[in-house]
Amino acid sequence: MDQTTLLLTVFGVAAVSLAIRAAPLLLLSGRRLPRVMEEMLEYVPAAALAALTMQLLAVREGAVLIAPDDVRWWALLPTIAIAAWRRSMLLTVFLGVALVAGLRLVTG
Amino acid sequence: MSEEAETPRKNGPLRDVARGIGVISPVLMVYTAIGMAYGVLAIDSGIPPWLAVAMSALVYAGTAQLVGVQMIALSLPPVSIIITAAVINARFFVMASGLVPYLRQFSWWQRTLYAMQLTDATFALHIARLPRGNATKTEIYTTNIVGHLVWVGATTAGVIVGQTAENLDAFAIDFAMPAMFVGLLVPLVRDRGQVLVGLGAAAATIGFFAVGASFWTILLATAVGILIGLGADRWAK
Repeated sequence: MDQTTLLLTVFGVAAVSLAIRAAPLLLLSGRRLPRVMEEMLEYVPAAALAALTMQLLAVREGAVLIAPDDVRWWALLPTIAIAAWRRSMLLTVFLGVALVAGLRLVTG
Repeated sequence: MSEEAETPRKNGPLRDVARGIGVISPVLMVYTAIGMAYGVLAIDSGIPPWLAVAMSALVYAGTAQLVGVQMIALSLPPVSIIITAAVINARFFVMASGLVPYLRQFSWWQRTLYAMQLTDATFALHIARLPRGNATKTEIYTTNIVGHLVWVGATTAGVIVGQTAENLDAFAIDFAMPAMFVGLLVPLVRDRGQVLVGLGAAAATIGFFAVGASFWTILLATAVGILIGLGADRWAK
């Protein structure tokens, strides 16, 4: 991407991030959202994060690749278990990365 | 609470600033760690250092920034990056809606500044504190501004580390972001509906990518997850 496109992208991301946070404060004065919208918003984080995780793991150079020699797949379930056990993002990242580094050392 | 009502509350802007820093202090360590991790990952994904720092200053939303730099590194169309950021940040719409009653005394530009510095952490702090009604504007903005500054500072530090460290792949840095998403996701999953949402969205991601949906995959898979959640709600009733 050239510099202008980069800048426009960052400004665009900044603008929508601000608009979403500011809109309720500036426009709604204590009115509640329709129930079905609240329900939908409740599921956004879980759905988006699961999709993002899967994209990072499964997509290599634009194509789906689920290869058993990619140790990150072997580390995924233990990492989920660590997250469920301690509910700490930092510990999950730390132990997850250590696990993958260890597996790579072992498998060469 | 009763203690504060009996002893006259010490006033003055300096006291408010000190209180504001006190409120945000537990969060600062987390911000430092995540901000640095983001800086390192941003450099690792190949985007220019100034851009990584500019995003922390202007966007100030960790997950959207992490995803944004990945998508920029893949040279995906800007519109798809901006829409994805909007979807990821949609939860802030709910959070901000919950804060509306406590910010009625704020002018429009004060609300805008507040909105810019609304994060998961500051929301948690303020939704616990503002209903008690004894936080001044100085205190509230000190909390927000100190958090924002530490986030930008930690990003800068991470960018410097990312540029000096030679081969980060050896440290399995390419698993740091998936692990971070897992660490954010798993604590959110409190019931069977949310498990179905996560699994459904994950499966849909593979499916949509396999059929060539490329950069719309995340949006489509998120929509599938949401529909599964709504379906699970109806089914359970």
